[in-house]
Amino acid sequence: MNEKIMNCFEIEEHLLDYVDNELAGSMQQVVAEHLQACLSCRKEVESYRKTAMLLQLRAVPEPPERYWDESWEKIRAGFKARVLPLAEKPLGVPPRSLRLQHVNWRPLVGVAAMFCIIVASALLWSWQSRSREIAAVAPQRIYMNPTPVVTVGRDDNFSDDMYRQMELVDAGRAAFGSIDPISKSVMLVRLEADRK
Amino acid sequence: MSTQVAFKMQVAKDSAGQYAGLPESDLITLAQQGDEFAFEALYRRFARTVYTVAHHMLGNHHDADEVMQEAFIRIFKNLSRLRSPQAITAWVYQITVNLCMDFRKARTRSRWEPLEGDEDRHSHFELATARWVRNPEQVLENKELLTHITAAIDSLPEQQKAVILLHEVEGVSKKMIAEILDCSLVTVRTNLHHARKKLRRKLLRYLNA
Ligand SMILES: [Zn+2]
Repeated sequence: MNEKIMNCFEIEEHLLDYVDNELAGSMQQVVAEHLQACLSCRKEVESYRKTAMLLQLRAVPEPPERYWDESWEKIRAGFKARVLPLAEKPLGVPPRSLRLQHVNWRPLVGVAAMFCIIVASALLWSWQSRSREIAAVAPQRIYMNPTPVVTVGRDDNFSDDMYRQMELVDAGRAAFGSIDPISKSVMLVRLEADRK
Repeated sequence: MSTQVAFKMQVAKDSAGQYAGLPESDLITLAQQGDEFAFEALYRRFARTVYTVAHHMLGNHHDADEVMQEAFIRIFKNLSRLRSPQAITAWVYQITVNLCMDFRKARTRSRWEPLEGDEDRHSHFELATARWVRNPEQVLENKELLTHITAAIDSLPEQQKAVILLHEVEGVSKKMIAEILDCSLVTVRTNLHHARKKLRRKLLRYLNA
C-alpha cells in the first residue's frame, strides 16, 4: 500500500514525458506497467490528453480566400513604403527549374512589352520635361518617398477602389522608378549641351 | 490605363503562380535579390502559419491581422540576414511569437483585458469551424466551455502560453520551440509542464464530463 503511494508520486514526475512518448525505453515500460495497474495515474494521463484536446477547440477560423490577397497587397505596399524598393519584375536569372521545362512564355513576353512601354514612357517623359527640373527630381528614387495611400495596420474597409488606386500608383511608380539610368544619361547630355 | 493595369496584374499573377512550385531555398535567394514574386510566394507559403499562431496567441482576427502584416514586413526586411534556408520556418515562428508578445505587453500596459463582448473571439463562425464541433446545439453548449478555455490560456504567462500553443495546437516540436523562443530544451519542457498543469487545474471540471 505504502509502496504504491510512493510509486505514484515518482511516476507522476514522468507522466508528461510519457504522454509525449519521450521517456527512455525502459522508463516508458515502467510507467506503462504502472498505468495498467493504477487507475488514478491513468486518470491523470487521460486528463492531460483531454486538456490538450480542449485546446483544439480554439480552432482558428479560416478567413475567406480574398483575405490573403488583400493582406498581401497591404504587406507589399507597407514594405515598399517603409523598407526597400522591391523589384517591379522578377529579377536576374530565373531559377534552374524555371528555365527550360516549365517556362510559360506569355508572362515573359508581357514583361518585355512592359519594359518597352516603360522605356518609351521614360524617354517621352524626359524629353517633355525641362532639364533643370529633371536635374532636381530624377536622381531621387520615387519609391523611397512615403506613399500616402498606404496604411499598415488596421484597415477594415479595404475596398476594391483602394485596390485600383494602389495599382495606379504602382503603375505610375513602375514608369517613374525605372526612369533613372536612362534619364540620367539624357540629363547629362542636356546639361552638357546647356553649359555650351 | 485600366487595360494596362489589368495586363500588369495578369503578368503578376502568372509569375507568382510559377514561383509557387519553387523550393524555399530558391525563393529565399530570389527574394534576397529583391524579387517581388519571390516575396509573394514566401508570403503565400507562410501566411497561414503566421496568421494561425497570431490568432491563437491573441485570440481574435483583428490583432492577428495586424501582427501578420508587421511580421511579414519584418521577415522581408531582415531576409538578407537569414544564412540558412532551413532555418526559415523557425525564424518565421520566432518573429510572429515575439510580435505577439510585444503586442500583448503593449495592450497590458493600457490595462487590456479579454473583452466580454468580443464578437470575433467567440463568434459562432469560429465555434462552428472548430474541429470538435459538428452541430449548432453543440456550438451553444460549448460557448461557455470555450470562454473558459480562452480565459485559462490567457491567464498563462506569455512564455508558457507560447510553448503550449505551439506544441499542443500547432504541433511544433520541442526542439524547434527552443529555437523559436531562443531558450534551452529544458526551459521549453519546464514551461510546457507548468502550462499543462495549470490548464488542467483550471479546466478540471470539464475533463471528467
Ligand atoms: Zn499510480
